Amino acid sequence: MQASESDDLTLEAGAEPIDAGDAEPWRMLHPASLLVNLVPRAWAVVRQLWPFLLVALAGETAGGQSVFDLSFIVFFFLIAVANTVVHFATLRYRVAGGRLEIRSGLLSTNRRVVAPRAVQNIELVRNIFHRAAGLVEVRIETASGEEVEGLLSALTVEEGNRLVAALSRARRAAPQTDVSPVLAHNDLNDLVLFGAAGTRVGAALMALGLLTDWAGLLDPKGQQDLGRQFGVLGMALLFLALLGGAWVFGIVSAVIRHHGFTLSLSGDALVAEEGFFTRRRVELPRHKVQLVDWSEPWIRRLFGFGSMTVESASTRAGVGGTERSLAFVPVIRPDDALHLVGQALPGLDVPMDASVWSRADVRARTRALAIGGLQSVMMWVAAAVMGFGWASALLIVGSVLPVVGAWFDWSAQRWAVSERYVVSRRGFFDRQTTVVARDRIQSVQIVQGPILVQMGLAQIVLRVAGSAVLLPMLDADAAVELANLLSFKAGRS
Amino acid sequence: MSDAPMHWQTLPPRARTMFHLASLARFGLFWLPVTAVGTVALASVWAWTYAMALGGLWIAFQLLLALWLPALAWSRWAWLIRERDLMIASGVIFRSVMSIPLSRVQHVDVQQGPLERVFGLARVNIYTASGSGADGVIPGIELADAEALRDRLVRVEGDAGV
Repeated sequence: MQASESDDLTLEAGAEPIDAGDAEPWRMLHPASLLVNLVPRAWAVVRQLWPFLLVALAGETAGGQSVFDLSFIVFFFLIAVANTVVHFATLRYRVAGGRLEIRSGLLSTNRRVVAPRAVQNIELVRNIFHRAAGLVEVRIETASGEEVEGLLSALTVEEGNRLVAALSRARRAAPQTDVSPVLAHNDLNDLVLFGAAGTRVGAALMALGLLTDWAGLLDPKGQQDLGRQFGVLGMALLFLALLGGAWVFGIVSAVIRHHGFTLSLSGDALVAEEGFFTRRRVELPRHKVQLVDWSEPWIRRLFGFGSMTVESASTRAGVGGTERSLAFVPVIRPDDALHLVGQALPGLDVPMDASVWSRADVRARTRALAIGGLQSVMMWVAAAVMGFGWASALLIVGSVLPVVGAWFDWSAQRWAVSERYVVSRRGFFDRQTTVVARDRIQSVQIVQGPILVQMGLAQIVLRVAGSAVLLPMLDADAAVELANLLSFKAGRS
Repeated sequence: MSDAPMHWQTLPPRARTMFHLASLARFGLFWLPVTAVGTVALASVWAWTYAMALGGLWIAFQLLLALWLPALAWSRWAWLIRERDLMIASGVIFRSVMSIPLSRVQHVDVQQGPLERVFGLARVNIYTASGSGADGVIPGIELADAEALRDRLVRVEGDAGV
């Protein structure tokens, strides 16, 4: 499947140019977009109006209320249908005069022009409907806002490839190559490992909490029966079962989302491709990459891998807040990770060897230990309040962890600055290494809380589009000097 | 934080008065009624004496903050345009010095609320492509200075680094 999908969505080196100036005709979406778009739009209606739907289906069928609710839903569904038809009928696009033009709208018309040099990334998405109809959705994103600036929801695969090739030519990107060197590939074993290494305790606890809440709704006799049937051992087994279920769910969802993951280099662009049901292909021009984030939680390190995120500046509003445009490598071994960082960040001039990077200021260790000690004391107080018992014994034994954790966390912090990049490493158990391109920095902030002021320490926050990167704590004067240096470089580009 | 150059611009004295008024308005319109409601609610579970004592202490604390913090905040706000960046210093409890490279500025807003219009002052919001709202904020600046600062910031050309 990997090979055939790659063939379908490969940028064609010899694609016929379509940017023939103003004479270039306007093109429209594929007619099948009506069907392809209708299903997700209808689903969106159902998702937004599910409480009404629930009441309509489960409520009194003889009463007038359900009829009203159903007609309410049908009304919004018809609006979704009308929107889909208008979208198809009015949307036109072309690459003319070296720029992408998209016009749409019936009553309120919009004509958008996107300069190819501003394109942060191009994403090709094929959900199951697209695949059944032989279509592809093209998403063209700039750094300007919280939406996809160029969204062409249904084109033929050939047309999608041709459009992408035309945009690449228009922004004078390096020529695309048919044979793309693969930088990272994750097979089924890798993805199972990735899913298995995810911690699911939170999900299991939440499920347990919901079950407990449900049990609370039962009548007293039902609760007594339930208590007799379960007990402490039963609850522990139930928790383990939930944990196992969440764990298996995590593995399955990782496999489905990242199935056939491949990251390759095509011309000057990093191209990531993945997905079982919805096939997603993201193209990130390397000169637009703003940071690379290498995440190595202890459990993944134990299995000899980490995960890596390559991020450009485009952001859009998502369900859980701002989503960034990125290529995410679920499983990458340390040696491959170092190679990938070098490939993703051209001209990487900082040694990727933590032993030569600078440490956090030694006073930061004192502060971390003091905070850890305070947490330990709070645990002792909690243990004292709880009295003798296994829980308080556990708290007292565990109270050493905050202090030990603070020490290790401090010892793991590193930073380095070169002519073109900044590296920050934080966390011992949840290790995170971030490399930021200095010429992508949007602002530099020095922050000091009251304790840091007293200790003569400061923290630098680097902001790039959609992300913020913390450097380890430094001497306040050194932080000012470093902030000046970083800001100067950013302002010079 | 000791790297303060000689030409930091501070806020005009009128801004301090405005900060005080805004703070007292917040105290009178928010904290006073909220504390009153909270005290009544507490009194339903505690003795009236304890609830009133706690409510009184809380009000005294908020009043102290309303009288003391604005002057301190006013004295900490400062800004400076250098060759390549705009620096903004602020913060009483948590201090911050922000450096925004001029070539990164996407747009600048000059805002005037009712209180600011009364005092002839304005608030300048500076946006970059970082996407987290305004990166730099300077409140209580003279309107003419705000407009001059805005014109200076948007005049700089650059690729915005994105």
